Amino acid sequence: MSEHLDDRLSALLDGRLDAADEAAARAHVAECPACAAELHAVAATRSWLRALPAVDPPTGFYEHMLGRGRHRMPVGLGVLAAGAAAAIALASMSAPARRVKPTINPLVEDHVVSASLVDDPVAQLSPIVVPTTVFVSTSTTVPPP
Amino acid sequence: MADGRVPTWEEVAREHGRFLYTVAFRLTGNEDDAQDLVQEVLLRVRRGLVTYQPGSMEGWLSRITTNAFLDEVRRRRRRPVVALPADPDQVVPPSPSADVALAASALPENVQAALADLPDEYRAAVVLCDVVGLSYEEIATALSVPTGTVRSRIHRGRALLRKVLSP
Repeated sequence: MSEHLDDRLSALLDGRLDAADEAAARAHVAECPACAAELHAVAATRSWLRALPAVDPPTGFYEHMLGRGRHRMPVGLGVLAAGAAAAIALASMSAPARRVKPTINPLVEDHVVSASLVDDPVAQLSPIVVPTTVFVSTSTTVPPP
Repeated sequence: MADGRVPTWEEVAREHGRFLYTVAFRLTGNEDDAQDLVQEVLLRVRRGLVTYQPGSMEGWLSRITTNAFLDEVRRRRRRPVVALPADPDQVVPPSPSADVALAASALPENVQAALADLPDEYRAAVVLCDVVGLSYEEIATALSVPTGTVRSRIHRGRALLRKVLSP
């Protein structure tokens, strides 16, 4: 009987032996109980390893890292980003203020009605003014031209 | 990348994050080191420190991850953590091997614990072969060793695991 197969057993399992070596290895296993037992055990180990499940990172792990990476932007990119932000600010300054259809008015009116202090003597000293429209500018700091 | 373009680190994180974390966890054996390793890999991708060869994205990522892992292993060997000789737990980390041996089953936790106890080079070869599914040639490239060495490490790694998992 030839010497034990050792790492040729793994090579056999992984299909790494050429036809002649594989035939010789199988012949050896057939007549060597030690190598047959080792082949069986290593095959089981191999299948356990291959059955290991994928592992999920902790929740938010990559999101946190990507967020942090953006804040640590290289200087060149930071300058570009600052320039882009300035351009956007300029664009919003030159853009005409536009009247938007307010969706807040019904809420204000509802509130005024529900919080009405008509019967409150103190409130009657200072009459409540119900706004009829709400003007919303795209910029709170720059008035429309 | 099908178009041969070097993937960005954001793409790697978004599209291959789970795979990358799995490889890092199997190599390092714990969450803290796995997270550090993933960060190091993404840093290398981001800084363009890794050459990209069009082909299997998972093969490419596992190569980078294994290299980063082994770099860290070598760095720790050069500058070992100062151990307190009076405390044996500091010198020899507590090993789950005994419990694993008693359990004598192949629950994933046991396989992972046994894997974590393997010598680093054996573990790297076994993880690349059986967890990632790389060929012997790809592993040889990743580890910069001949394929004969890969074959030997894979078998020794499996044989050591076998001793722990089925005594």
